[in-house]
Amino acid sequence: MKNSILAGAIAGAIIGIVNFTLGIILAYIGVTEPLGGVWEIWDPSLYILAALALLSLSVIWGTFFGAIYARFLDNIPGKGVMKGLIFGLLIWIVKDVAAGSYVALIFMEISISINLIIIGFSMWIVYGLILGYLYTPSK
Amino acid sequence: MIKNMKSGFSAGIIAGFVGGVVAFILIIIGNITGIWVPFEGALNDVVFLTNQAVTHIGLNTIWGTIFGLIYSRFYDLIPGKGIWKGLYFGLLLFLIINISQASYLAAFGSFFWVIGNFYVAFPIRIIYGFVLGALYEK
Repeated sequence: MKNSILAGAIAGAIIGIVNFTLGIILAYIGVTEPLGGVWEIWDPSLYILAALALLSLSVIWGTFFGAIYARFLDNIPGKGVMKGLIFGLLIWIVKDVAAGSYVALIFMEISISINLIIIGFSMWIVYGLILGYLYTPSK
Repeated sequence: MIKNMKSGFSAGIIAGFVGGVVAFILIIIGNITGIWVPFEGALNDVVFLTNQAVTHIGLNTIWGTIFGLIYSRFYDLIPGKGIWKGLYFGLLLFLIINISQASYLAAFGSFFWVIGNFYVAFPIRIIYGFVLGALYEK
């Protein structure tokens, strides 16, 4: 695929599903207490709304990061899928680990911080792998 | 213009430190004016304020250093020149860290944190980018 925006959108849609599924699992086993308490209320209509919100946002941000990936591709270490994986890890560190550290240490919201870091890790690893696999820059 | 630092690490430390000081000042102003009050009655508690100052400055310095290293690695690919390059990078950080976070927070109704993302994070990312752009030159 030569279009990084499309590759980013596809990867984004997949991580939206990962995010939704993990959010439910982690809340169900009591590891996190996600935003708005959505997962605590077993209401199917609320779940559909949450799934749609996560899917839409993941596609939007996936597209955005896909465009950034193409721009910064030459300076990202590795090749092919590995390049995507490193980019995914970089997003995770800059976006989720940084935000998680502020939320935990300044505002003492440990649950939100764990949510950001654990779910973010699996999301951006998957995102990077898919993006690296799908996107081939044109020479 | 200063423009004599070749190390993204050192420039990032200074820019992050400045960002941390600004963040702490903004928290105090927010409390006094009522613009954004994450901690009720915080201004009367010296120990709490000291903790906040150390945490803000410490975290921003640590992350400023990491972002400074990233800035130096991707320097050639960031649009603009000099301070504008730094500002562009600061805005990119704001988009990646804060706007993305705010969009998820808003979707789940946590508007208090969305306001915080704009009130505190936007000025500190801009100031961080400005200082980084002014200090670092490849």
